[in-house]
Amino acid sequence: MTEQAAGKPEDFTQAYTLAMAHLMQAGIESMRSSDILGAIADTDVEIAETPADIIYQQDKVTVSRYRPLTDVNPNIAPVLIVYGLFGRQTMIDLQEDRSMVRNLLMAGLDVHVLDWGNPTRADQFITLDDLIDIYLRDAVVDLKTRSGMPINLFGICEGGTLCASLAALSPELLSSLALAITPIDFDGDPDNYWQGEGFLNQWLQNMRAEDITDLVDTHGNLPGAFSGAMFSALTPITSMTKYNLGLQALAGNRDKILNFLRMEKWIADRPDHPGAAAKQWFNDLYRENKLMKGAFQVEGQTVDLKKIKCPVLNIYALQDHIVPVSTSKALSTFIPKSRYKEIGFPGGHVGVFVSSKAQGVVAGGLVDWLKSNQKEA
Amino acid sequence: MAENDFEKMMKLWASGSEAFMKAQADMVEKFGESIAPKPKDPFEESMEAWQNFIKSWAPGWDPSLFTKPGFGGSRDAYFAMFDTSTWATHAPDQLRSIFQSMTNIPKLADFYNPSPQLGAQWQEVLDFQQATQKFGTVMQSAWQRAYGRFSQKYSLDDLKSGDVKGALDAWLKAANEELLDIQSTQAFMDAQRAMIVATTQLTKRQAEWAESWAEKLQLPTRTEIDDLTKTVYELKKEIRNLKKELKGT
Repeated sequence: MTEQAAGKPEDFTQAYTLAMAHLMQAGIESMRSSDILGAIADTDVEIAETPADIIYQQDKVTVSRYRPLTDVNPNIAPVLIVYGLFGRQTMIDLQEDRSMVRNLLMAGLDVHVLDWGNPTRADQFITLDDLIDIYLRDAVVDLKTRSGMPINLFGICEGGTLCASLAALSPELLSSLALAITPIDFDGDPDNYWQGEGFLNQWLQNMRAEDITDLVDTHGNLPGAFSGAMFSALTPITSMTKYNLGLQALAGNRDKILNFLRMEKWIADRPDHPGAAAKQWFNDLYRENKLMKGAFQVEGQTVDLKKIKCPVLNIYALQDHIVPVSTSKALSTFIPKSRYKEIGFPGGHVGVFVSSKAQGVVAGGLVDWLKSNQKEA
Repeated sequence: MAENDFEKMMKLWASGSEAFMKAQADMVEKFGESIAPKPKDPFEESMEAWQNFIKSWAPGWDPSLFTKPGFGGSRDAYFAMFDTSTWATHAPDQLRSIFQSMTNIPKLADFYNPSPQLGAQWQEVLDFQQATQKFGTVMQSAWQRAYGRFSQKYSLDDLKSGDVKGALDAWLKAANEELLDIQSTQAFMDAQRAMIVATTQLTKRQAEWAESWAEKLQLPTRTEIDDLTKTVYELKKEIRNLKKELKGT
């Protein structure tokens, strides 16, 4: 408070009274939220409820086919959705009215999702080479064999980088490649970052290779709790206030509280990242930017993104603080304009999937693009 | 000359000589001290160094406290010496040199000496404490700037309007901007890196201790299980490649 603020005692009393009135109001809102929270059990908070059946499994990696919600369009090849390993694929089906999966199914697409499973220390030696060249490739080949045609691959975040690499190594497997919030140029454009953008890129580039190797080797894998803490640190005030002011602001609205809890459930379910792959992800890609420089290798083969032959849709989030727009848009330098399309979604990293606006812009945009590809084919 | 007088004279002469010799000795001693100080008693010297060292991280420490009932007034200072969180603040360099000397002891084949390991562990604890402190200092500067900005914008007069929510939002906005601002600075990134590195070293040391206990209790160690896991991983990969080769032919 300034000296002026110290003011007269009656001023202080007046301000104090007003502050107390506000506190009372805030308290009432908090209590309403607390009441609702107290009545909700963990089992009431359900995510990823769209029914699906496992059709393929290799080690812990599974591919599930969602049961159709309408007649499947036979002219569009199956879609395989591939999330990263820092979170779970359940994000794409968080709740019924905000489910990218449901929107794709309602459009008549044959939708599949790859689940990387729950890596333990027994999986610490799995490399990016294994993820791309064994698990992802085999899952794609299996789906291609089942459907009898090249498939549509949709990679999200880290999953997008893995999908882009496979698309460059084996273009014959794919009918199209869609990516969302996917880093390609890990250096990004730091001179033009807005405040809070690109921390992960800057922080990891400030680490030494041996720091990262040591950290991962000490734990075997990269602990989910560690990556969770890093993500929380990217938005310090939001992380500090979500359980107090954030909950209070929901003022006892049951639907909003359930939305909040579904997101919390997704965040809490953060798997460990296989150690060897995490070291490559941070050192080869984040620190050395090998993919962009054409120096990233998978099983001895260089990943040249110019070798991607199918149509590409690149979806990025304009307010993405985790994967800066510049790191995603760099893909355009590798793909001819005639086969490349972008959707810049006005939202954040997770908003691409969970916001109500995203259902039209992102899911709708993806469906339209897949249909237009089909016409052109 | 009577015998008494002679004796008196002799005594006077003796005491005069003694006084002269003493004065001479004092003078020589003073002169000597001025050009080359007298070496202290080694025990006294090491005690003094020890006291200075203790006082450097526990300034309230009274060396004579053991002679006082109930630790006298220095009880808190005494216990403060054992509070490791204060060591890094007050005497990091002294501690580091002590731990360093523990770590550098040459290994003897038939003599069990855990002090090098302990020394290394304490150095790691010290690194962690210093890293945490430095990180805290960096973050505190951001909070201070946020408060400075907020208090310049908001006064009690503004709050009289009843817009407490506005004030709270302004505070959060200022804090958010300052925290985001600092998180992209080199000072923050270096402090963050030091903290991650220090935490990793401590975790690694814990794992080492756990392994040595596991060995003593005839339990499989993490290294042994990791070795096995790696063998299984490599075998699986080999089988997979062989299967693919067979399919190809």
